[in-house]
Amino acid sequence: MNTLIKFRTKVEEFYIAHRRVAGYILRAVILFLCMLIISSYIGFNEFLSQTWVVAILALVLAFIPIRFIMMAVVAYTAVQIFYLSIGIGVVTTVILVVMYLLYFRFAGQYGYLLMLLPLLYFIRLPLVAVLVLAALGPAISVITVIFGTVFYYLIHYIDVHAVVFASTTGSAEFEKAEMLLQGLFTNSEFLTMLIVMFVVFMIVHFVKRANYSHSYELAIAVGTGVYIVMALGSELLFGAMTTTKLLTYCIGGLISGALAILLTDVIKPLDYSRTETVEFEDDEYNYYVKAVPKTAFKSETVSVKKINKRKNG
Amino acid sequence: MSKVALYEHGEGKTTLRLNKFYKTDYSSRNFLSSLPLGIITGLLILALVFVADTEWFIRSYETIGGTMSTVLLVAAFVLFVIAYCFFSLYMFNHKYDNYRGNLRSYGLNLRRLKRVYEEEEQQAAENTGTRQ
Repeated sequence: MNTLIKFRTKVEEFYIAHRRVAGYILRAVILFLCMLIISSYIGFNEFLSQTWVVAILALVLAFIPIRFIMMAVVAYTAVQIFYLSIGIGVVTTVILVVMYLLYFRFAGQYGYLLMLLPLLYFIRLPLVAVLVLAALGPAISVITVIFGTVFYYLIHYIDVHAVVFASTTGSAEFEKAEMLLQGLFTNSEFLTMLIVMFVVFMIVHFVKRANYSHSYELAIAVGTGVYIVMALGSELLFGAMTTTKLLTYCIGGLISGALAILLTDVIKPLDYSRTETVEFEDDEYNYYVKAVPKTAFKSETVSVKKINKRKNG
Repeated sequence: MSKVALYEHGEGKTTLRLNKFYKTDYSSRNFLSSLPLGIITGLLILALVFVADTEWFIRSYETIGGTMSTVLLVAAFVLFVIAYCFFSLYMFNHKYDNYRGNLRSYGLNLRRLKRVYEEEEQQAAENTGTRQ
C-alpha cells in the first residue's frame, strides 16, 4: 500500500508540474476510450467509427472545456444514431439533451466519470465507479451514476435492436421512436440496474459517514454485498438466472469491491493508527472532533554534491 | 504559498467569483436562471412521454375529456418546473455553503502567508541593522 501511495504522490507532483499538458493528455485518453466504446456499439457511420478518426477527434476535443466536451460526446452519439434512423436519432438526442440539462446544472464537474461509466459497463465493472464515487464524492454525484447507466443502456439497447430499427420502412419513424422508448423504459434489466446502482450508492454514502475506523472500507464492503444480493435477487425474481450471470455478478462484484477499496485507499489514504479525539468549546458550541490524519509521503529528493579532486601541478 | 497559488488557479477561479455575492443574491440569481432551463426540460420530457405512449394520451383524452386532461398535463408540467427550480435553489445554497468553507480556509492560508512575509521582512530589517 505504501508503494501505491508513494506512486500516487509522485503522479500528483508530476501532474502539478505539468498541469496543462497532463490535463490535455488525460482528457484526450478518456475521450478516445469513450468514443471508441460508443462507436463499437453504435458505429453506424463507417467513417466516424474508424480508430484514427476517433483518435483525431479526441485530440481536437481535448482542447475545449469539460462542459463542451460532454456536449461534443452527445453530438457524436447523436450523429452516429441519425445514420441508423431519423426517428431514433431525434429521440436519442432529446433524451441526451434532457440528461445534459439536468446533469450539468448540478454535477457538471463529474463529466469525466459520466464518460467513463459506459467504458466500465463494457468491461463489466461499473460497480467500481459507483463505489468510489459514493465513498469519496458528495451525494449529488448519484446523478452521474444514474445518467451514466441510462447512457450505457440507451446505446446498448439501440445496438441490440439495430436490425429491427433499420429494417422498418422510412415512413414508420414515429413508431420506431415509440418502440425505442417503450422498449428501453420497460426493460427489466435496465430498470433493475438503475435501482440497484442507486441503492448501492446511497448505502455506501451513508455507511461511510459512520463513526468507525475504516468506515470507507466498511461502506464499500457493505455496498458490494448489497449489489451482489440485489443483482442475484432480481435475476431470480425475473427467472433469468444463468451460470454466466451468477459468475458475472459474484466475481465482478468482488473484483469491483477490491478495486474500489484499493482506489479509495490510494486517493484518500488515512492513517487510523494516529487517530486523535479532541474536545474544545467556544461561546456557542461544544466540539467533539475525531481527527484522522492522512498518510503522506514526501518524495525523496536526493541531492548529490560533487567534489572535484584538486588537480596537482 | 504553493497551496494558495494552486487554489487560485484551480477551484479558486469559481469560488473567488462567488465571493462577490451574498448567499440570497447568489441563490436567487441561479433560481431565476433555472426557470427557462426547467421549462425547456419539462417540455422535452413531456414530448418524450407523448412519443412513448401516444395511445395512453388519446385514451385519457377520450375518458376524462379534453379540458380535464389538458389541466392535468399543465399541472404536471408546472409541478415539474417548480420542483426543478426549488431543487436548484437547494443545490446552489448547498454549493454556496461549501464554497464559503473553502474560501474561509483560503483566507486562513492568506493570513498565514502574510505573517510569514512580515516575519521575513522583520528578520531582513534586523539583519541589515546588525550589519550597519
